[in-house]
Amino acid sequence: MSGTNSAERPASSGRAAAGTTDTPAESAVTGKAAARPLRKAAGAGTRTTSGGTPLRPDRLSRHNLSGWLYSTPFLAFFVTFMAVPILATLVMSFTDFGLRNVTNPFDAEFVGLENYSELLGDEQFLRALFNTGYFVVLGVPLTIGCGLLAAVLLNSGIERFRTFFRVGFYAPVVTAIVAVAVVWRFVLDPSEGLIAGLAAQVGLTAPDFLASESLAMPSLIAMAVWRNLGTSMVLFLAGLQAIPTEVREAAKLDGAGAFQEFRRITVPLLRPTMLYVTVMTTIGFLNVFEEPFVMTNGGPSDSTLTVSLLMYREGFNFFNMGYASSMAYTLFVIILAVTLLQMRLLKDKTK
Amino acid sequence: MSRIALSRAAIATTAVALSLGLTACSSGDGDQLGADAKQTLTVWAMGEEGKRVAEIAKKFNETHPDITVKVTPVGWDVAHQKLVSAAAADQLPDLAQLGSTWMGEFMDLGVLEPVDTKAFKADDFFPAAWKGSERDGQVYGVPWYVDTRVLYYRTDLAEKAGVAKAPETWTDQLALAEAFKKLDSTKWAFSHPAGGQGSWQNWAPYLFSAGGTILDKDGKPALDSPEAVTAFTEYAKYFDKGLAKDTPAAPGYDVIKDFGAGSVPMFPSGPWMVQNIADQAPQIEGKWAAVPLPAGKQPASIIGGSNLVTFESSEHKAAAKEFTKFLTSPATQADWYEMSKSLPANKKAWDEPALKNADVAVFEEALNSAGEIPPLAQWEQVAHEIDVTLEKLAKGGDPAALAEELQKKTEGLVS
Amino acid sequence: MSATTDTSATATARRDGYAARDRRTRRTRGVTYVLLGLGLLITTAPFLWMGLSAFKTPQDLSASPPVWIPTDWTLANFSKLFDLLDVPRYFFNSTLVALIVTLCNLLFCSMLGYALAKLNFAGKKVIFGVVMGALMVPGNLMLMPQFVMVSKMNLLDTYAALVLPSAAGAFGVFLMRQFMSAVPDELLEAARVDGAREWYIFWRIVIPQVKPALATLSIFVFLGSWNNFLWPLIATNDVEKYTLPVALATFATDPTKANGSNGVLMAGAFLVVLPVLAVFIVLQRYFTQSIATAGIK
Repeated sequence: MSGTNSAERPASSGRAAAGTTDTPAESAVTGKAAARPLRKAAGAGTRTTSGGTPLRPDRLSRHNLSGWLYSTPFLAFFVTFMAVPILATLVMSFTDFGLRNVTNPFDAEFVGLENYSELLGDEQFLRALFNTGYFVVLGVPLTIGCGLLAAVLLNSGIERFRTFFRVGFYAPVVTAIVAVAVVWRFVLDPSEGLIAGLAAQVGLTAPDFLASESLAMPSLIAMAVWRNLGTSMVLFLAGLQAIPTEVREAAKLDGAGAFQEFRRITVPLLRPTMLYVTVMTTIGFLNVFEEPFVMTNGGPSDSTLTVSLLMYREGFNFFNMGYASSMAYTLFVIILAVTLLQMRLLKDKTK
Repeated sequence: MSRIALSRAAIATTAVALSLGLTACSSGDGDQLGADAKQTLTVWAMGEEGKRVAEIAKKFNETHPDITVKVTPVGWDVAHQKLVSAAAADQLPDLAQLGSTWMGEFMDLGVLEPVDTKAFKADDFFPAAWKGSERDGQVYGVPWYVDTRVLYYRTDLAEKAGVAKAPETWTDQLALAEAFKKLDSTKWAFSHPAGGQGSWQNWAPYLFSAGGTILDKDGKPALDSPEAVTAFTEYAKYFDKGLAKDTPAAPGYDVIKDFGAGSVPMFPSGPWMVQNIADQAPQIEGKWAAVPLPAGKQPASIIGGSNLVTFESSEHKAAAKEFTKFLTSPATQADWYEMSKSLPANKKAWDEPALKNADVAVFEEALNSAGEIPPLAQWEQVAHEIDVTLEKLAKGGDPAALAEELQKKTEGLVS
Repeated sequence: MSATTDTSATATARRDGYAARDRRTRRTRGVTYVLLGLGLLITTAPFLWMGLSAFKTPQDLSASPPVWIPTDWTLANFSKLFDLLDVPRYFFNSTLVALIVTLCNLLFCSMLGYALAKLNFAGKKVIFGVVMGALMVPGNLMLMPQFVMVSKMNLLDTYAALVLPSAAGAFGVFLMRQFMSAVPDELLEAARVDGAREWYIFWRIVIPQVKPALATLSIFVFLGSWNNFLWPLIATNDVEKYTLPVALATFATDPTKANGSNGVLMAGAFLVVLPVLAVFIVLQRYFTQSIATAGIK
């Protein structure tokens, strides 16, 4: 965006930068079309759509064709390779699809909601659900908080070592899980681990983190935060880009301190990014699989068993595909509910 | 449980039909090629073995020049998933290596071609290896290589603790562990998994040694038999007396480090450990020994390993048979041992110089008395339940009550 | 919006403002560096461990207590790795697939993202709902139906099989939509008034505005494709078509070798990380480039 433009009309550029995040729940038309009257495009009134009706001077009808043209390439791939398998799995969740049906899928019996009702009485599943919730409730805010902090610090105008820091913070994200697991085992090892060593320095003994039912999950949460903050940092860095420097300068000249600037400029203007990061991180954390898989395999006594891990076990170790699919869809409904809630809460309120 | 059988018409309209529109398994006797026709044989083998099979196939081509062997190496951790997916899409190879505990599953899938028992004789192989792929009088795989469990212990530390003789009975083993515990260098006297994936392998020898089996004569689980309770009771002693860590080891825990340092001076494991100890803990050369697992009522270990299976969908069954014959012949098996240190499943191979000169007598002894895991389709699940039981046992659970609980759970699994 | 620019501020006021700011800046800058330095220590440790372990001997790898710096540096792990697998070949496969997948995603996701953010058309909400829905379905169960489909299309063992299922990822659409909705409508409107075609607006006005998002998307997609494991594993039977992670999992992990193969594994992991890191280093400058004036020229 041009500097002069925003200097002339700071308020509107501010709003533009904040973006208008429509949620699916709200009409995409009213928000914007009502927000500012449109200048009629020259010559727009004379064209007709293929239906032959004269074009109304609003944008709704004007974009039908191009909207679909822009959507088609993605949808073509998406429907073929994603939608069909998703539906197939959904159908599977209402059957007793098991090992024998791998070669004879049509012998699977339709069992209605039996898988789902069995699931709700399955203690192990409920335990996994609780663990997953615990993981999300602690892990997501921590990940987002640390990611945001890192992004803001990196964006605060430091020049030296900037690339170095960015790459460093992103390193855990790209590091292969096998290496991550080896290192974290070393960090958490009760006898010769890093933490144990530090504790010994001050005369304490470190607990056996991964073997303790109360400490195993927090250890995994720490690991997940550490592994994922790089991702949210990258997203926030990209989001901070959308904030015009003029707006920041102005705030500073008005005497806003670093914290005030953060609260009054950064936070409101980062809304679309914040929404994205929150939703994506939550979805990722609700699907948590790798950390418990490589570190504890769900133990001790199922204290780190997550829904995805249980699903994997049922689906690929035991091949109870029908049951595993019903687990997947139960998780899906939970994710959907949480996401809609987040979209509602984080909706752009600056309009 | 009322189940509505779904009519074909209804299911055909669903997406499952779209995506799983499978041709029924090809009967596979339409276009069989003779063994001497020019053809390509596709073989899946695990990991590094895959590479070696490709090498050893060159020798096979000396006698069978028209059969091109095309090997796809597949990682161990993922082979299971790849095989099942391939079965679903009817994309299986002609021949594959199959882990011995997977036999039951693939028999249930109905994708395995029965073995010609005239060409492959049960007496040539270790009995437990053969029985692991037998069901209802049919055999579905030929044992290729085997592995078993023996006891590794630090002889130098045993002497230091005042035990000069190798342990032979459960009582000896317990006494040795107690002696080890008294040493200052010892963290845990015995590496004895308190549950966690695969810990059933450590418990099964106790069951076999007590005279028990996984299934009874009618094919029902027998995990609450008096023998099973005896095995659980014996297993639990090490936790009760503080001789073994009572929480599961982290996945990926490698005992060699602690064995080399002397902090864990005794553990049961497979034949590959001989080489691993030599590589990773060269400082204790000559200070350790591998002996057959100490016995309860009878000597017993557990057998594992891999079988060679031919798939029903293959159009090269004759060639597959030739290649299987070649791989399981004593001479090839001895070569194979030299290449990979995998123990031959063919008993005659043990008379070959390659094995006579190696230090493998302890394994041969173990193999002759080993018990097998029956080919159960739901074995993975049964094994998981045993793992869970062992974790509860380590927490101080009552062996008899746990055995009963385990029995209830597994009875529902094994149909 | 509470922040407004007072362009008529006098020079004095401005100078005072700057002076106060400089004092503050110096103090916060020190704090910033301390915090970042601490963070860096924690985050890079495992990465360093991996890199260093790739050069360790088996004894070092299973040493107790663990050693960070190899006592004698060795290239044995790498030579064993190159012995076990045809690294250049798998590297090529992985790179090719990751690049094509990244390009496809950039194009398809930015187009659909644009449509969802800036165009009003019938069915828009449905599309967004479906795409978001796909984002939430736990992925690994779809593997089987996906695999059966691809094999029915006779695509197994082709590069197409490796690319197609991930050529249009839902998360990219959501990302592009979020960032494109932040592009001021005035820019688009002004261009439309000038009679610019929709295609021109998209390429010349919107795309330059969302470069940071495109860079972000590229990194995520490249990384995802590069590390993708289960799909390439089942979709390829021909060793020639294996990708690097699949080849590594096949040759470098042997359950009977516990830590023995760790060195080779670390060497492999180290090699796998390098290209992704390179891509990141190339693209990261877009995250905080100073805003180019992308107004209407």
